Amino acid sequence: MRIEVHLHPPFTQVVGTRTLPVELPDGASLLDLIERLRMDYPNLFPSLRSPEREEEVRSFAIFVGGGEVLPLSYKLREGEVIEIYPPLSGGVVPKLVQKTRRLIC
Amino acid sequence: MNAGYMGKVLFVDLTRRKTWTEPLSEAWARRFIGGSGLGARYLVELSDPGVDPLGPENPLIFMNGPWTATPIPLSGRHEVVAKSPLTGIYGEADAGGHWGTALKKAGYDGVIILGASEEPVYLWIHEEGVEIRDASHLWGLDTYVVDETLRAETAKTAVTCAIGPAGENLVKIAAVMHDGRDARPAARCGLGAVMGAKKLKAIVAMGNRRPPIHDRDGLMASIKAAVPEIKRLAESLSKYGTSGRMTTIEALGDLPIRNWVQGAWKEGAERISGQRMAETILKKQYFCGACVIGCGRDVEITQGPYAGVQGAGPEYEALACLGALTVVDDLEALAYATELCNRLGLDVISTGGVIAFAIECAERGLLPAKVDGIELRWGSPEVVLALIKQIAHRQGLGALLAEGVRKASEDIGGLALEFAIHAKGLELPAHDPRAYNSLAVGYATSNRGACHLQGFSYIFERAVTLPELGYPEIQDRFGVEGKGRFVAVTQDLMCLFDSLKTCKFILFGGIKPTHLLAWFNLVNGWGWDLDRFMEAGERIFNLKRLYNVACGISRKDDTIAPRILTQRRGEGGAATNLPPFGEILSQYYEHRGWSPEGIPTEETVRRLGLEEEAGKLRAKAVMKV
Ligand code: SF4
Repeated sequence: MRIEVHLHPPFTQVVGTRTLPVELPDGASLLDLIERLRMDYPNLFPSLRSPEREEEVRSFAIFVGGGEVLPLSYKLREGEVIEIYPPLSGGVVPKLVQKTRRLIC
Repeated sequence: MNAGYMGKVLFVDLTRRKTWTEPLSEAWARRFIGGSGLGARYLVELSDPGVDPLGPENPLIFMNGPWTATPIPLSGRHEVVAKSPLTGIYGEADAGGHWGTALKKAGYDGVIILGASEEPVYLWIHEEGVEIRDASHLWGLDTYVVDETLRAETAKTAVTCAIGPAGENLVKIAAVMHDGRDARPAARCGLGAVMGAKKLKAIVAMGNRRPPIHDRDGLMASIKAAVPEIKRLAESLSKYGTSGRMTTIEALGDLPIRNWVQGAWKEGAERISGQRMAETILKKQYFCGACVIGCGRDVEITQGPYAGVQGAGPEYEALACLGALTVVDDLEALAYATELCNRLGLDVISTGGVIAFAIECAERGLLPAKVDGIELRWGSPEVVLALIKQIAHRQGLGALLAEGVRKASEDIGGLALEFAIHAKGLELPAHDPRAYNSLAVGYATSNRGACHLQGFSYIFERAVTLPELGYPEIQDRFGVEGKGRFVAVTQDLMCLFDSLKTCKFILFGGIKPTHLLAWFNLVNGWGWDLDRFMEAGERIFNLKRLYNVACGISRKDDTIAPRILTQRRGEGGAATNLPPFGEILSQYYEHRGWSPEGIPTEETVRRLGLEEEAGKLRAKAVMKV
């Protein structure tokens, strides 16, 4: 199945685009999507160590579908739009961190 | 005295121009810990709940916690406590920065200001003593200039706490500011006006002492192990500040827009986000004392109409209240508006609230469309900037707005009451109870009026767990079952944060109540268990409630603006939800052990060991407890 990922800053800088089509096996969950994104874009959530832990994932990104925060077990559906927002509590995106550092200096 | 404390509280009577110290009561420290809890206990001891908040009988209390000036991460904080002139009930405001640490290093757990001076004065507190000095040359000056002047007059490394013109003019939404240009406010409840009424312009503190620590090696080892994890989990907060969550907050329907009427504002949120700030005006991070996250923003604007802005930048609440509430999406203008509030000494939350209220009143014909040459309309930085100045100086429309939305709406009357978004007279902060069910009852029962930090419950409904307290999963933000207990438990936990004195943002770094308890015992050596620890939080919450009950507060007051309870946002991430208020409030009272009228029962008072305090308040009460 094919879903569409909508990225928001700062993730847009890492991926280089605002929308990203992703092909996944039928029955894939949000956790599967996260694993795929981690493989394709290692810089997206580089400090995320335990993607199977809901609380930790939300320290690095918030996954929203249909206006609601999705749990890791959420079963994705063909054609669905998943939005990735910055975390409400933590997380890091190294590319922009470097940029911020440059601004700081 | 026990480890963690300096064992001394400084008293300053401005009427009699006398200063003295009193030993900190160990019994009180064990029951109320410090900061907010001890501050509340001193307030009960030293004043009558019926006092005029701007009269000399209202003590102004600055209180550190046992963790202030220790190596515990994020512990550079203190609490300011007094009866609030804005709400007429218990008032408190927490501040970060370095002032509390400086006061403790000068040798004091707190300083309590009694009486009032006839002429402007400031205090200079150092290890050798305290001086009451003339401040007539500082009256009328903004807090950044006061800081520079006073550090030149005292010591370069001293830290200042000061009011701006707003506090001098007894503006009811005036803040007590700290750390000069770094601008760390004790903003809420109008405590700047209490300081202004005492003609106390500033308190300068400096010292080199440290509180004793029961098990320093154990504490250092525990902190060392925790810090890398705190930094890893909270790195986004570090890089983008509190407004790094702006777009997410908007997407979840949690951002108040257009005086709480509009449901979505996608592009606006992006334009004022922390990510945008990092790309434009951000100069560097700011760290409060002992902080390892540094969510503070230090900004600089070098060109354009707002060139010259330099120092503390806008945090999430400033951007949301001065910006989203008024539909202003110009980040640089909002940075300037924030600097104005900091210099003039205004609470950015309440200021944004009263400005949005005024614009809506004008839009509906309840105020003239043009007031003193300013055309009141949404999305206008000019309106926001002009009204900030008018409020601080009580000029023009500012005289009305300086009283806060509750009083202003009562003065205008009619439909204006619909547009006054507050709980118990305190303007709502920028998190919407329609997006998080716990917030409605949290705001309604918060002892200082509408406040997101008195419970901080919504973070456990979106990203953080509390396994030790019965919440191993992130809570359903639209859930109802068990929410009453949940709100109460989070409030008790936040009372501990406010009393120990450490920043609640440490929760974003993976720190749980178990860590807090371990550090508590390592600092104090008291060997408490989690039940006893949480009971102290519950005791502190109930003490403040008893004070409020003595001020006449009961169930009738435990509510929030009807707009938030009964009117849908209509679009965005919380388009249709309305918080099931009555159900959750009833659960809450039952869990708290309060009567149907919202008064702690005798059994509850006994269980928490508050008989003495309840008796005192009953004796002093303007109404029968
Ligand atoms: S996280 Fe932010 S508010 Fe908290 S102590 Fe650190 S700099 Fe201050």
